This record gives sequence, structure tokens and C-alpha cells, in this order.
Amino acid sequence: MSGYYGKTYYPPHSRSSRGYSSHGRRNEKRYNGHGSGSGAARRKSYARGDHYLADEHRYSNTYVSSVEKMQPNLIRPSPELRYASDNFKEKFHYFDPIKKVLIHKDDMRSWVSDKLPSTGYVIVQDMTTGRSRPIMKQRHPEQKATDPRSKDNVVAFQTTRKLRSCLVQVPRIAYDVHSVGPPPPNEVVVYPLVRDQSNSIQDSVIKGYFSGFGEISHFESFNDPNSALPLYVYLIRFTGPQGILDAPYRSVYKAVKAHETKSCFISGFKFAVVANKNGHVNKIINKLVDENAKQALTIKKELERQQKKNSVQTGPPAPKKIPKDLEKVVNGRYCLYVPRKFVSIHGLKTEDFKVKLAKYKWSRVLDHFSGIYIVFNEKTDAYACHAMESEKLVLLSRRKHSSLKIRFQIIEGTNQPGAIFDKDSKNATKKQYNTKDEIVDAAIDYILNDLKDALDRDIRRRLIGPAVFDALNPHNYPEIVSKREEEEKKKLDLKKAAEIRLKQESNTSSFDIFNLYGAGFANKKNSRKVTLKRKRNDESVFEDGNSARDLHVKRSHASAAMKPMAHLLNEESISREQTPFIDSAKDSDLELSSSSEENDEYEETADFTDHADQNKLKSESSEVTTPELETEKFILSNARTEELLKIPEKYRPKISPQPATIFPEEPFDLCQDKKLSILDLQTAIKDDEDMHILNKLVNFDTKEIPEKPVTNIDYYMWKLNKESQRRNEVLASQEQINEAGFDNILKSVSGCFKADGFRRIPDSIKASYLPHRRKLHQPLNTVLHHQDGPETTSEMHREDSEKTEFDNHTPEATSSRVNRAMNRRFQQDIEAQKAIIGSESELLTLNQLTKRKKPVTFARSAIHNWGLYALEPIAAKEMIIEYVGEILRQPVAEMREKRYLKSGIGSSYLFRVDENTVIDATKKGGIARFINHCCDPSCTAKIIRVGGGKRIVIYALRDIAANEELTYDYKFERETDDEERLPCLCGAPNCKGFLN
Amino acid sequence: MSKHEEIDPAKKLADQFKKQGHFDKIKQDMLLGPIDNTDSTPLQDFIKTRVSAVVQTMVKDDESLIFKNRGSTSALIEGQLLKDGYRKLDTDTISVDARIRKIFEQPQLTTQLKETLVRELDTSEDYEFSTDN
Repeated sequence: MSGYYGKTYYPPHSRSSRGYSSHGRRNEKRYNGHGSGSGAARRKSYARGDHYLADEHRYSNTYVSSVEKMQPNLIRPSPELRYASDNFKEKFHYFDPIKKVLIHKDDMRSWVSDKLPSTGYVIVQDMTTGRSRPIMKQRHPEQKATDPRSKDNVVAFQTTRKLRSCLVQVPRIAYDVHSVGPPPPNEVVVYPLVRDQSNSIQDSVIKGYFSGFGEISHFESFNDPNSALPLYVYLIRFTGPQGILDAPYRSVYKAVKAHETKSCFISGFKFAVVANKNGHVNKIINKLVDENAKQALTIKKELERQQKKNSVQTGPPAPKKIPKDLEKVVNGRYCLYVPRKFVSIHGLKTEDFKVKLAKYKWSRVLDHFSGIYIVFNEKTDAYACHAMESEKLVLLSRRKHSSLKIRFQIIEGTNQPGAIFDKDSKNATKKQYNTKDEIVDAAIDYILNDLKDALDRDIRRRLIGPAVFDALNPHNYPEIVSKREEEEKKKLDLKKAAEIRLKQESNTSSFDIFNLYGAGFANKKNSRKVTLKRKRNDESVFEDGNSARDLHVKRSHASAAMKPMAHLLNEESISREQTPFIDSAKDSDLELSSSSEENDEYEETADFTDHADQNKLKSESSEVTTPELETEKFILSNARTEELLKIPEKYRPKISPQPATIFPEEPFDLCQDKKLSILDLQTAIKDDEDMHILNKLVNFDTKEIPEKPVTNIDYYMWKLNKESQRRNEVLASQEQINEAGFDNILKSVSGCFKADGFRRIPDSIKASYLPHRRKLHQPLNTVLHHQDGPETTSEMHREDSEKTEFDNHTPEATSSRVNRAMNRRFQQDIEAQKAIIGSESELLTLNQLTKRKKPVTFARSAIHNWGLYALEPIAAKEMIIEYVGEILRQPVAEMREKRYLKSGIGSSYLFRVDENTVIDATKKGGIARFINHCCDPSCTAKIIRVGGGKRIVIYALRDIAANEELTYDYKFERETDDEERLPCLCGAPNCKGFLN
Repeated sequence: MSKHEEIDPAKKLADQFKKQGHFDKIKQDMLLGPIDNTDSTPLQDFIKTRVSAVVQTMVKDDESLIFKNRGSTSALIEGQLLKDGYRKLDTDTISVDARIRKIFEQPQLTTQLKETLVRELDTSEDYEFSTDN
């Protein structure tokens, strides 16, 4: 133990310091009382005065002492102190061995204090609390110290330290001003671990990669001095900011540490990163250069070997002969030859060569058991091909999945080029026949062969083909065809029936097509009653103005023109209370056929005066008949068709969604005015029947005397006529504007609205003439399309817009997504362009929002002035348009607002984005500014961030139909001053009445 | 003139024979003329009647045939009929293939041919014969 302490472990000065610490009370300070013996030995060596010397000196001392013994008269030289400089003395020395005095005796103080026992202390393990705990105990020098480990009952206490299976790296110590020793490396060497010869890497890539670890002050890449090819070895020196001394070393440490466990992959290269210690670069470079040189040598050898081989092969040019069996085909032409061995190993085919050599004028590619022969007609072609392609043509091996270079061998032709054809013809010698018979026999053979072929062909093409085709003609099988037709007919009927049933289900009550036939059969009587009732009503027109008006109203419901069958399914039943079509039709039908016998019935049914009763009758009849309906019923029997055909065309029953009158209705039918002009009366008389009735009426009418006798009948007639004309005009204009006449209440009592004075018009009436009230949830057809005729009604618009909305819902969404993806791509392209141009060019600033814009247009609005309208159906949550305008600061906006008010621009197009930004679309801006306020809006304005700026974007709140006005809630602040408040004209059911 | 004719005078002769119209005539005779001495119906008519009969039975089996595309259906049926030397067209007693063979085996055909060919040879001077023998 003493040897360990004294000799090898401690450096001399530390040994002395130990000496110092134990000086005087050496024994007291020794833990566990060990080493007293060694302390004694040490003292001896101190006394000898050699303890400052290194080992060899000590040995030399022993040598000296042995010499002394041999020569006793020699005087031992006085000891010399090696480190006797003042500096050392002051710092480390405490004892002068020559003078044998303590040097710093005055400076030293006793360590004895109150806290520590004067006899020293020992630290012992205290196990009283269950856990071992070091406690200090006074030392008793008389007691012998024991090693606690030697005790049996020592319990190995739990430790949190982990078992170390290997050495643990010392944490990095930052290099600073106080650091001793040379600085750590500030360079890293990057060298390839695996090298791919075909790959290359640019220095800048490496540099860029490593600049991530720290600031690079020096970057060097090394080339092979032999070949000047890059070695891909890089030396990177790091630097750092001026003040921080540690920065470069830290960078190196980081770089090395990062690639310690995983190697560094940069564009396909696998690099190792090490710190450049002790010229590590040069070692690496030398190693790589040596490796390269070796490789080069092997390649060179290989090349030489190959060349030798080639020279051996080509040296004695064993002229390859064309095999016998190919001689005829090759015919002495020039060939390129690829040996079979090579071909079969790689599974090459003639096609490969044909494709690859397509540009050469080879005539044939022959596959022979000895190899592949590419035959050329011309010698020059063969040589050209050989020169160009031999050892250059690359084919893909079919067996080995690698590309091969094909070596061709040229086989010289024996013939001069051009002589080939001559020989060909020479070979096929002209056949000679000796006798006539021979020639004739040969000719007969030819002819018979040809005849057989021709006959066969004729039978096939001319006989069997057309015969089969004709035989398949359906006319040949009338019974099958008729059967088939019948089946088809049945099917068609069934289909029709199903259709009808379907239609009937969809609108059972509005109209019963079955009444055409079914009711006619089943409830003839009923319908007759109805008819007669109707007739009676007609008559009463002239007797009683009121009932006539009723009739007109009733008729006006049945106004719609006849529509094709196919539309019936789409049509919604509008009214259930009109006279069904069957009545009028049946009416005339029966009237013509059996008018005389119905006189008695006339009396019976006369008590039906009410429309409701009549309708009840009708619906009863339909209810009775419809459930019984079967397919057969729809097929008219021949007798019935004839019966129907007997009816004049005018009165024949027709299929229409709503019952229609035989003659189109006249304007006076629709008018509520009681007066009829003479013209109206004239047009009202349509046929003899009408005339007959009129006559009857006039005869009856003789008794009636008007209260105010008309004095000037001509004038009265003229006036009536004029009035009716004007009425027609007014009606027409109202139709045009409103698609319906105005309500009667709206008519001025006195004939002049101004004279009427103020009166309140109820909301229900307003709905009859205010367009947006009338169709609150329907788009207004204020947008004029070029393709739209003037007759297209908003009704139709609504229908098809609803339909398209319904149908296009999903495709719209997906297509918009695709669109957005496309737009993103486009934007990326633009960004790339921008990056190339470099400068901030206004030309390429792309507003991505315009791409997502929906087709909208502005038109006159029912709400206020102008409005914005959707041209296409828009799905909910879709972006519609951006609110574009000048971006202003708040004070500017305030100023502008005042100026606009002053200059008379009443409409406000200022849109607040946030507290100090306002977008002004008054003078410069997009059409989004035309969007009106509505208390029940279809859209909403959102402020979104696009590329760092805030933008106002209008989104659809709900599905919007085409031509619908777009609205959003302006969300104006509530104005306290009543005079300042702006009235809202949106017409929504939940309208607040004011904008602010 | 093609190479073959130059090489083979027999071929040339045969072509000449065809060009004169003899070939078509013989073919026509084969189709129209009564095949057998016993049977009076010519081959052409026989085939036609047989075809329509076969097709009718086919249609009877499958009525939908006539409602399908006529062109493609007839092509398919044709293919069936041509199989194995018109076996479908054969009746119990008469086989079309055998008949055609029989026609070709008739000795008078060859003699007739020979006659015309010899006549042809005599009229034209283009044929030369080696006079070795």
C-alpha cells in the first residue's frame, strides 16, 4: 500500500502536499487509522532527502550509496533542490529539507477547532436509523482501527448508481481562459465510408450540412493527387463569435457526437465525421489515396488482361464460316454474328436485335443453333453496323438482369454486293417441260387446285353466308315475331300502367286520369249530373253577374296550358277545388250524344248549386273507380275508341294535368269587372251552341230593364269597348310585372290614388305585388341572361335551380376541392417563378381568392338599389367572393366617409376589418360591395388571413339557388339617435326594421 | 408478269386458262349443274335449302336469334355450318363434302380441261419445249 501511494500514483509535488497535510499530526488525519507504518517509512525517506527526485534519481542514489561504500573517502555532495524557485516555494513547498525547517510555519494555522475533536475523528457508518449514514466520531489513537469491510455482517446497501459495464465518457469540459493544455480540435474531418463511384456530391452540400453545427471558417475538400478526382474528404474548421472561446470546439463536439452512432448520409454518400486530432486528415487522405491507387492498379491489370484476351481472340482472325444450312439463305452476303453461347446464356432473342438495330439496313436476322446472324444486303451496311454497334450495343439480359454489351463478329460475304438477286433468279431455274402433255398435266394440276379453293370459297361466301343472313330475316318467322310483339306490347302496357299508378300515387287527389274512362263507365250518371250542373252555371252567367264572376274565378284556376304527360310527374298539384277536366269534356260528349234523354235528369240535379257539392261528387266518383283499376282497363276496347272518335275533335277528352276548358279563356273571364264590352261578348260566342244559348237568354231577358236607361247606345258601346281595351292593357302590364293581376283592394276607390289619402295596406296584400315579398324564398329573376327569352318565368327558374341544386350538390363540392388543389399547384408555380425572378414584382402577386370566386353578377335589387346575384347554385359554406377595396387606416376612413357624405354618395361601401383597418370599395373595389343587408341573410362575411393580410370574404350560409340575391348581415352598431337610424327594406320575416 | 409465270410455263398456261373465262365457267357448272345423274337438284340449290332448313331449326331452338344483331349472328351461324366440311348441312343420304369430292374425281372434268388446255397451247406460240429428247 505504501508503494502504491508513494511511488507510482502521485506526482512528486502532490506527494509533498500530502506530506504537508499530514505534517505534524500525520497520524491523526489518517482515516481509519491506516498507514501508520507507511507513514514511518515515508518519514525515513524524507529524512534521506531524496523524495523530490524522480524514480531514476532515486535509483541513481542507491547507485551512489553503493559507490560510497566502495570508496569511503569520498564526500557525499550536499543535496540540491531541483524546484527551489521562489514561485514553487511560495505555492507548494512547506519544508526545506536542507535546513530542515518548515517554510511557511508562520502562515499555517492549526486545524483544531471547537467543532472537531482535538484527537481527530473517524467517519463511521451508522446503521441505527436503518439506513447507513456517515457520522463523525472522535478518534481514539489508542484504539486499533478496523476495516469495516472485513466484518461479516456488512450489508451491501442499496445504491442508485448503475453498474457500469464499460467506461463512461467524461462530459465535455468547456474550453475557456482557465483551461490548461492545448485546446481541443476545432476541425472535423468528413470522409466517405462507402463510396459509390457513379455518384458525386457538391462541396456546397457538405458545407451547407455542416454549417448547421456552427460557423465555418475554413472548408477544404481534397482530391486524389494521382487522378485529380475528388476523394470526398473534407476538412471543416469551425469558428465562433469573438467573445465565446468555446464555440468552435463545441461545434466540433456537436458534429462528431451527432454522427457517432449513426453515420451521416448526404445525397447517397455515407460519411464518417471525426474530429481532426493530430493530423487525422492526412492519415485519412493517405489511406484513401493508397486505396485508390490499388484500385486503379487492379483495374489497369484487368484492362490489360482483357486487352490481351481480345488480342488473342481477334489476333488470329478465325474467319467464321456460315453454316452449311444457312448458306442458301445468307447467300454469300455479309453478316454480323453473335455466338450461340452468349445468346443462350442471356436468353436473347432475334427480336431484341431487330429492335435495337432497326436503324440499320439489315435484311434478315436469323436464329441458328450456332448463333444469331444478322444478314446485310450491302457490305457497307454490315461494316457500318459493326463499327457503330460492336461492343457498344447494350441489351438487357433476360436472365441476369443486367445490361450487356454485345460484341458482333463480322462474317465476310463471298459475293459482290448487288450480285445477290442475280443468283437468286439463277437458282430458281426455269422449269422446262419436254412435252405438251407434261405442261398440260401440270397446268391441270394447278387449275384443279385453284378450282377446289375457289369452289370452297364460293360456297362459303356466296352461298352459305347470304343464305344464313336471309334465313335469319325476322319476316321468315311471322308467328315468332308476332308473339314477340304481343309480349312487348304487354310489357309496354304494364309499364304504362305502372307509370300511371306511380303518377296517381304522387298526386292522387288532384287529377284522376282514370275518370276519363273509368268514371265514364262506372258513374255515368254522376258525371252527367255534374255536366248538367255546369251547364246551368253557364246559363246563369247572363242572369246573374255574381255567379258569373264566381265561375270566372273558378275557371281562372284551371288556367294552365296543357302539358305533356311526362311533366305530370313533376308537377305539383296546385289546387284541388277546380272543376275537373272530365266534366267539361264529358259534358260535351254526353251533350252531343244524348241530350234529349237528359231533360228529366236536369231537374233532378238542379238542386246542386254549390261548387263544393259538385266537387264532392267528383271526388267520390274517382275514389270509387281508382282502387279497382287494373291494367286491362287502360286498354281501350275497340268499341270505346270508336265511340271516342265519334266525338268531334274539339270535345274529345284530353289528358292534361289540370282540367282545361275547350276554348282558351278570354281576358274578361279573368277580370272581376262585371261590365262586358260588346267586343268581349262577340268573342265569347264561340260556336252555334253558344249562340243558341245566347238567343235563349236574350229572349228571356226582355223583361229586365236597367235602372239607368242607356240613351246613346252607340256611345255606350264604344265606351264599354274602350274600357275593356284599357283594362286589357292594364292587366297585361300587371301580368308582365307581377305575373298576376293585382288584388282588387289595391284599386283606387275614387279612381285616383292621390285623392284617396293615406291608407294602410295590409302585409298580406303587399305580398301580392312586392316581388321580394311575393317570393321571399325564391330567387328574383332580375338577372337578364342573353339566352333567356322574355317568357321565362321565375317559376321555371326556381324549378330548375332547385333541381340543379339538388343534383349538383355533391359534384359541386368535389369539383371545388379539385379546383382548389389545382389552384394551390398553380400558386406554387407562381411562387417558384417569383423566386426565380427574385425581386418583389407586383406582376406576379396572385390573389388566390379570385380563383375560388363563384360566378355572381350585380343587378337591380328588391332590397336596395343594386344587389349581387348568384349566377349558379352555390352550396352552403362555399366561398363566394372577396370584398375587395382600398385598405385604409381608421382616420382616413373617417375622413373619407365624411367626404362621401358631403359629395352625396349615400351608400356606404366601407367595411371594417379590425379596429384600425377599413376596406373602402366606394371608388375602387369589387362587385362584392353590392351585396345588400338582410336580416335573414344568405351569406356571411368572414375576415380571414391570407398570406399575412386580413381579407374579407363572403361565404354562403345556406344553399343558394341560381339568380338568388346574396345578402349578409351588415351588423351595424345600434344607433341611439332615431333620426340616424336606417330603415331596413330586406323584407325578411324576421326583419328588425332598421339596419342600425 | 410475275416471276412465277416466267419460271413455270405451266402456271402461265393455267393463268391463261383462267383469263379466257374457262375457269369460272367450270366452277359455275359445278355449282349449277346436277351433281349426280340421279339427283336433279344442283349443288347450289341444295346448299341453300339445307342452310335455310338448318337455320330454321336453330331459330326454333332459340327464338332470340332473330332479334339479335343479324350480321353478327349470321356470321356465328356460318362458322358453325362451315365446320368439318359442312357436316351440319349433310342429310342422311347426301354429304356436301363427299359430293364436291366426287365432282373433282369425275374423269370427264380432267378430259375436258385437257382439251381446252391443249387447244390453248396450240393457239399460242409462247411455249417452248426443251428439245433434248
